[in-house]
Amino acid sequence: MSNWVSNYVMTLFRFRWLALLGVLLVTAAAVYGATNLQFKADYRIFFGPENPQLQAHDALERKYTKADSIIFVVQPQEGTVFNREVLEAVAWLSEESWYMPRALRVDSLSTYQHTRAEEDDLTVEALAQYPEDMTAADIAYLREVALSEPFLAGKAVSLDERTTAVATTFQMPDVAGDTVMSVAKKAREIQAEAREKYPSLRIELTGTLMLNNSFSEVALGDFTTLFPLMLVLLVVTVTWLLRSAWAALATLIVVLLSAVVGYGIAGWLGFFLSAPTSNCFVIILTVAVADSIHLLITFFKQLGEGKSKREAMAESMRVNMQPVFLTSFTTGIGFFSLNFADAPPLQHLGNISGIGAIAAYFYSVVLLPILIDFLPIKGGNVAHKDKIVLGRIVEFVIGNGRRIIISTFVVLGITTSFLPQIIVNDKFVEFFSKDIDFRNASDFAIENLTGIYIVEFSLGSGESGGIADPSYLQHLQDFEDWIADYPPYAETGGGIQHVNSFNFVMRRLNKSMNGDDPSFYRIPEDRDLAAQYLLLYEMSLPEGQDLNNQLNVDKSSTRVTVTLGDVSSDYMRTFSEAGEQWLIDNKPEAMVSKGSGVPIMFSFLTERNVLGMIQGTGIAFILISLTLMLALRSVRMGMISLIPNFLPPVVVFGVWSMLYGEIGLYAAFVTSTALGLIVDFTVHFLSKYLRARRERGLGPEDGIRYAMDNVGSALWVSAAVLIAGFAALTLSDFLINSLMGVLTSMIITVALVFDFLFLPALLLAFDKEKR
Amino acid sequence: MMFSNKIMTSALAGLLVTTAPGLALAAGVPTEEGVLIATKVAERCKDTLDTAALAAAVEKGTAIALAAEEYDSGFGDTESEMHMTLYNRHGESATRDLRQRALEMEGLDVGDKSMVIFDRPRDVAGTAMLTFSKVLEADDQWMYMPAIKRVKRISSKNKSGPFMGSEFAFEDFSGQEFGKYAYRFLREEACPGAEDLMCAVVERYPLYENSGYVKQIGWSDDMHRNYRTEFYNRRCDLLKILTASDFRQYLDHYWRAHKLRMENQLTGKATDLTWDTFKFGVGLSESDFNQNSLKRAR
Repeated sequence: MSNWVSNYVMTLFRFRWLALLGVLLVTAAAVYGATNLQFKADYRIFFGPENPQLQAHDALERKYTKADSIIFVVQPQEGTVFNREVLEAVAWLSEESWYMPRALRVDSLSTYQHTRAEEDDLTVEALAQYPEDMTAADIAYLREVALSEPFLAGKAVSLDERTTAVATTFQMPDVAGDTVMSVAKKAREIQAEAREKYPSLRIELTGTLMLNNSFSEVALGDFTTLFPLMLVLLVVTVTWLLRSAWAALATLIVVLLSAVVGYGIAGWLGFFLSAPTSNCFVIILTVAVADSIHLLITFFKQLGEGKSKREAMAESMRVNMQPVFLTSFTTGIGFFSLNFADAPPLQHLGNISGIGAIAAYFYSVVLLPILIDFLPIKGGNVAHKDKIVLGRIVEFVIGNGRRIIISTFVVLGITTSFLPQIIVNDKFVEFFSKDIDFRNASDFAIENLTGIYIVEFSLGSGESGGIADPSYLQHLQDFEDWIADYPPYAETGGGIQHVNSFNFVMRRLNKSMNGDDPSFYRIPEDRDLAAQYLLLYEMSLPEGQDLNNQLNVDKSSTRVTVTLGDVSSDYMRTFSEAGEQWLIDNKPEAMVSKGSGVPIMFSFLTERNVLGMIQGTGIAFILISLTLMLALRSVRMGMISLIPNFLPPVVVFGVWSMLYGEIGLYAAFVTSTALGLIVDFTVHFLSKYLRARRERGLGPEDGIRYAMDNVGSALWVSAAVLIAGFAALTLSDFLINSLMGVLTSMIITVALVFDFLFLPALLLAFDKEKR
Repeated sequence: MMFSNKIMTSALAGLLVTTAPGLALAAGVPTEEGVLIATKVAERCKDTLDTAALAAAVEKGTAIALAAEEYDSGFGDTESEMHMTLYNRHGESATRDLRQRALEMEGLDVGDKSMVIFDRPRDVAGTAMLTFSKVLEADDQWMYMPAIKRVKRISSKNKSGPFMGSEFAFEDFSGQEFGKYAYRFLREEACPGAEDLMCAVVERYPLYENSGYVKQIGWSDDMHRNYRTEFYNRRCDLLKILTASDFRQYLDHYWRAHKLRMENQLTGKATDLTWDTFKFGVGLSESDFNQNSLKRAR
């Protein structure tokens, strides 16, 4: 029946040099595209241009200044931060921070511009710019000011006086390129030097720029550790499995080329590299190896039966051409369905891996035969010891079909009962493992002082200059009060850590302009007064301390910045929505604002992607089912085959919610990618089963025995490679990659169990009556 | 505060310290010290420096600055009206209207006196600011606020922040005294925006320790019109570029640009400053520049 395959293989061998040349040229052309690839170290890449949260965030940054930050968090071993050494460190860090490229402003105890009345003078000055000159009384005064000034208390210095921060805001270029890395590198240098200068202080480094930088750190780390690990794993497995180093070499060439072609074509398609896509190499290596393994196992079997190399290869190709094509095709569908995800890096991950899987098919059927022909391969010796175990499994299933089905549903019932408890965690700090500095530093910062979970509202006054209007300022103060009363997060007790509002400036100015009388710490009573105070104040500020980060250009709106502590991403989202709703209900229309900011963007991330991927997975499921029905030429078999593929992800998510209780972005796409992989087992098993039933006229039980005998080893071996490959991803310091690895290898494991136990039981139950 | 568009005629050369005839304020910073400062800045900013020709470059730069200074001296007093338009990089804008009065002062170490009166936005109308410019220390400044009918002294050493939210820093206006800088001549080339003219390109280094800049580079032609100034911040990055255009000559001598554009290279924001009128010899005297006159300045 596969006559054309034999003809194809013979032609291929005849024109092998030409074919080789062709393969090389096509490969070179594809790989050349990789020169277009650039790594993007930017949290923004997770959001498509249509993403409403990104749009809100960008709109806010357009109105004010950008808010990329680097934060040094400083804590003495014991005692308060109000001592000379800590203050010197803060002053030093503030000065050095100013020298980081593209720094716009630096906020710290040392740069804070204190306003003070002296008779008819308004004095605006930094209190702790030169700590070496400060007396004990100066330090005591600084402490008093810092703890009572809402701009500083809880942000620049913790309320327990133990921790202080130096926060730098940056204006990054639109196309950040390697600017992020150069700024982060500079920050790390400053941190190292500060630690050396002030060894008794704990000095940590966080901020959104460090977040961005961490994306490139994890990608680089993964690439330098996981990739070599995967290569070794692959070579060892294949050599052991096929007992032939040459065959392993040929396989290695095939999978490596598949991987580089995946990236090369990605370059031609205008993709960029990112933390998620840095692991496509490992993914492609893992999924691509199956094609070669199937071809080579049959090849060696034929070789062992005394055929020549070319005959053996021709026979192997004849038997495997269709299933290998089919499995690559379904794997591709699984990956390509990621285009339904909202986050571009996920789409890229899917496309690169999908292209790699398809490329692996072509290399396996074009290049692999030629390589095997060239290489000095002798008859290998494929292990068959597993036959006994597999045989026992088959007999067990045949004897206990009903019980297996019942227990499967019991397991299913138990595990799925945990599903409703699962919560979504989109906290981007927790995207990184505790081996990453950024994670530890950010955890430390959130726990002790301030975090990078910042939500912002832009409140308009409706008219140019309207922010000086007392009624506007009163509205602003009402909103601050509402925020202050917002309930904390029950689980951790964390909640609103700090609020910064333009109102603080106005109230403070009013007080200073009235002889520092505390009773004047309130909103100025008329607009002209407020506007004139503001004009005077703005004239007195040094570079990097201006109000442009809080006010827009025509002074018609201000930004309220809320720092959140240790809360869930759901809390962030609820808070931001509640804030907007409160403004709608209580304030003029011009003041209504969506909460925006990086954590808000991320707090919608999983949901948006899951919504997209439900569609994507559904479509993948339908396409794969149709493919199976077509390939197996049986609608009924197609339907039966769906069950052992549909259930493993459900079971695994059930177990996952039982064990971890939370999911994230990775959950959006593992189902469809895993589906594309595990369906291969079913395809191989069923095609052999059907061959036994149709061609050999065997009954269901013997059909199962035949199928297990013929593909059992190949199945568990390729499953083992897949499990190992995805388990290797578990070592990634990037949670999206590592948990995707965990979940996928879990699903594959469960799927293998389903295919060995549940699928045969199902066949026994439903394929009985006929024949 | 010298809100003067002198910045164009003399962004590189201080104009405002009087050149009493014969008095060589001419000296400025001695050449050896200029060499030292230029070397330090070049080291810090990793600029290449022709050390062999450095002394000559410092001398030539200083001479050019001084010539500009002398050329513009003797203007007496001026009164002008202007608009300031602020843009962010997404095209949002806001406008402010101002008037300025300036008085040239006699004496070597006395800076000019100036007054800025704010007309718009309406809520600051009538607010006025008086500045006595100083050479090497913080300027003296007072502001009159009509809302409380009081004059407040602004006591702040560091005025490198934005002026009325614009891209101009206070010191970009006030810092034009010849004595405030050391100078180094860089090269001659076609004037930016007026390619048919040749410009001297001179780098200058602020001597005031709280200056927001490490250096500035200016392009001026032989009429001492300053077409362009680049401001480098303390980390040696090009922070802002000032472009001057629409030069008009007054009293057959003094050149004044009627349009200034300051562009922030970091944030993409820009500020335009345009003059409607410019009057010389309006008869102002010192009595128009004190705290009492500040209250009356409408």
